[in-house]
Amino acid sequence: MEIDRVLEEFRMAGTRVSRRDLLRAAGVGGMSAGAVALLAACGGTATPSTSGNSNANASAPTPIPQTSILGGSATPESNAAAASPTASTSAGTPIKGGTWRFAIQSDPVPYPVTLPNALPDLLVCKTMYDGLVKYQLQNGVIQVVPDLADSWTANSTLTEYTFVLKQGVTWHDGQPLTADDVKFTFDTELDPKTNTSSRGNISSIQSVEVVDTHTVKFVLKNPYAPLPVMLGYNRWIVPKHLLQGQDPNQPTSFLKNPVGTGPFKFKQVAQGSYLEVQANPDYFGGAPFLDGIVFKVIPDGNARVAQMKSGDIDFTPVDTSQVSAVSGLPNVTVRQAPQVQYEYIAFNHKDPRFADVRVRQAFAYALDRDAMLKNLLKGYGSVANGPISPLMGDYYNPDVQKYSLDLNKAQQLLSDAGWKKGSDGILANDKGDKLSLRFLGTNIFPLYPLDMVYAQQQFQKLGVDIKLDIESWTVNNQKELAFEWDLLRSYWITPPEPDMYDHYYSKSAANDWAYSNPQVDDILTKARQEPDHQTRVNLYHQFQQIVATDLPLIYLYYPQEVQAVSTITHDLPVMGYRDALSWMNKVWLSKS
Amino acid sequence: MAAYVVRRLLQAVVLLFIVSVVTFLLIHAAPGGPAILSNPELSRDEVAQIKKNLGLSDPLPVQYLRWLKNLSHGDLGTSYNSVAAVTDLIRDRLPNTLVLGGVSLVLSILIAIPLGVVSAMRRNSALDRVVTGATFLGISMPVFWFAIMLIIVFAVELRILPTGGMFTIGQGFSLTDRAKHLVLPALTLVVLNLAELTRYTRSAMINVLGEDYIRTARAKGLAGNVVIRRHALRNALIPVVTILGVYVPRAVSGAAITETVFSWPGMGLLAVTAANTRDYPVVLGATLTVAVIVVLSSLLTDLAYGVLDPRVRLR
Repeated sequence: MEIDRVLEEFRMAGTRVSRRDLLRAAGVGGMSAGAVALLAACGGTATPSTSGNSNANASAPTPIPQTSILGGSATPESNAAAASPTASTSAGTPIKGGTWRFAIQSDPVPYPVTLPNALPDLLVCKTMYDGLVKYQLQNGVIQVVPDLADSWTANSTLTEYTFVLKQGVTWHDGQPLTADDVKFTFDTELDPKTNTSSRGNISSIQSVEVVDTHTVKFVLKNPYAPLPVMLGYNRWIVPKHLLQGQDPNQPTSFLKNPVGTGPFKFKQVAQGSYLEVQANPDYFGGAPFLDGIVFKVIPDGNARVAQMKSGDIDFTPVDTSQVSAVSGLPNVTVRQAPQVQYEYIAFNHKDPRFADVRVRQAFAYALDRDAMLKNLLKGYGSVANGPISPLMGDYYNPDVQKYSLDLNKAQQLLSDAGWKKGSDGILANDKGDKLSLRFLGTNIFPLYPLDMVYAQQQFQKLGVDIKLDIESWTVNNQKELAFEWDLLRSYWITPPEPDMYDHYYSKSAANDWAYSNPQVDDILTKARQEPDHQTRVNLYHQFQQIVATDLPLIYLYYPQEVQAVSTITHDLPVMGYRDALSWMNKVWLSKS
Repeated sequence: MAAYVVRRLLQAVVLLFIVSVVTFLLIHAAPGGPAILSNPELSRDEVAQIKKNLGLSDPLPVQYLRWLKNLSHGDLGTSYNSVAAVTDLIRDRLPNTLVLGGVSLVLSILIAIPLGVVSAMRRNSALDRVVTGATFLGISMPVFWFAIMLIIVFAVELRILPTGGMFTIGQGFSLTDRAKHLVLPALTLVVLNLAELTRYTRSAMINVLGEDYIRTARAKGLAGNVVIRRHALRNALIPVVTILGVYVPRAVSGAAITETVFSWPGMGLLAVTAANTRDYPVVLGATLTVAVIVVLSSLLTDLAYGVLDPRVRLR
């Protein structure tokens, strides 16, 4: 029956390689003296597992109970039964009360629709607003579960989706949530006059129609399987009755008192210091245990560690170099959480020197990724052999070509491809081209200069001349888009969706590497329109095999997020904090 | 005197205009563009569209004139990063910086000048050597290291002072609470300022003490203290006042590093972040604000000269 097949599909939601987040509020992390130093402390002493699948949750994907996305009143609570283990050793019954303190790097804007769409904004919005769906980690796989939506269906060609909203949901000011709010939100986001960065993920939407007060229909421009997942990716519903008539880019009166449907509502803000939200007792998912959350603005990484130590904050993500500073403390737990992210080194496919796949494979054979993972990431993550991680369940294909360190093989491949060392020691072909490359990366992540220097070392052993070009975030982005590089160190954070069309399809605007492979084009086009789950799985398995051999990129790792959490925090889901914060209604604080 | 002040103010307006043009050109020349447009989620078309929406695709003179026109209405524009009016941001943050900077400066003066004077009078004594050594240490210490050390010692280990911020969240306004939060950041800045100020005072004093008129005064039979108070100090203060003229802008523009480490919501942090992320309206607004204060303080300094040094007649 259509519904069953469609629901099967939504088990592992859509395909659409998500775009990156702006990982840090741009600039702040890079600015104070020792901006890189501020994240650098002694090396870590925590001992995470370093096996191939160091993600403790990445067990072989198991079938997901249908109840997770079925209609009816599937609430987050009912899904919790299937949820993976949560934060610190939960001592039984939740206690009401307490304020949870979360460190952010800069002032948040508690309004989700428009730029800057920066990280602190997203984090605050996750507690104050809701989307149609959200993400939950179940048995090592990130699933889409209903949030404001009760259930959804699609037509057989995946060009129309109908979402049924939950009944009885109210805004923080008491007004009821209706389909009009959903339509208003999406109309605003799709309007070109609105400055927003989240339009790309929903660009397939042609129109949003109100069917009745609690039913919304999305009419798409083309068949699109990933829609449900995309609707949960940093996307929230905003109130029409309060925002109508205001400038969406600068809703000044709304910003003074923002209103959402989420488990927490706006309480107060002090510019440059903090933003406070308080519990919403009428939250449809059940009143939160916490009294409130304070988002403290702490721009300096060392200061965040210090406040964690002194017990002034309950949560901060930490860089691997800061782990030792927060380990072994009686009031802090260090844990790692999975996130859907992969790190890579890209080839500039406009460059004919990279046209021969043997050259690309040679580069891959020159790196010892296990050593990089162990020494540079301190084991927090796992080696990646492709863009789809085990967190995507059965879409993940482990049977692909892998590259371990083999300098001889690398040298041989280069030689076979016609590259011989010239008198200056640099590889050259008989046309006189030299393998003298510009390697671009940004220093906003302390990891990048480290692994770039290592890679440079290794590549130079082969006779490749590497010039490192390490830039600030904005300059890096500018150069990247202008293709002023030969090798690029970068990453993608994606929604839990295998659709890589936007990055790998040859004519995609977001294909930043100019990669072009007609086979890949064909598979990705088919897969994003395919309603049948197993067929999609097979297509993506094929895709992974192709890219592992064709190597548009050298896949490096799936990094884990390292978090410092206070020991009094309980039931915070073990997910990347962006996703964990959508579940704040379940978190509680013990007395000590 | 009045004519002098008026002339100076007119000069100030011209100066401010030049400052704004230079700032405008510099920040637009910086590569990369506004950080909000560097969001990887944006396609090239979207970036172009947003640029147009923000007025950034207009030629630079047009953009500058638009800014100037808004300025004449008291509107400094909207921050790209905070979606807040620049005037609101500055209004919220400037007092915080002034408090921190002001308190630090006053403390520095109260400590440094006597210290410098005594040091100069007892040149090469044990006291002098200690002071010189300590000030040398103070100048050489990296700010961010010293600041974080203070936090670790006093806030994390000893727990007698807060780890950062301007006040305790959730409490109403309390003077003791604010004072407690002010201690460590002010201490950081004082130690920094102290080192320089003491050395300047000491040098200035040493120079003055070597002057002929001091020898004359002593020869006249005046007691040491009287010599210092009536003749030496006033003259030694002139170069010191000059230095203070430099300290005021520093205090106002905010010590970005100190503010960052102590999470102090001030102008320094705001301006530096804005510059790094090319938040043009904030950069222009913050620079202009600081420039206005600098110009005014420079005027006050010159007026102070008129008081201190009768040889100076302000025309």
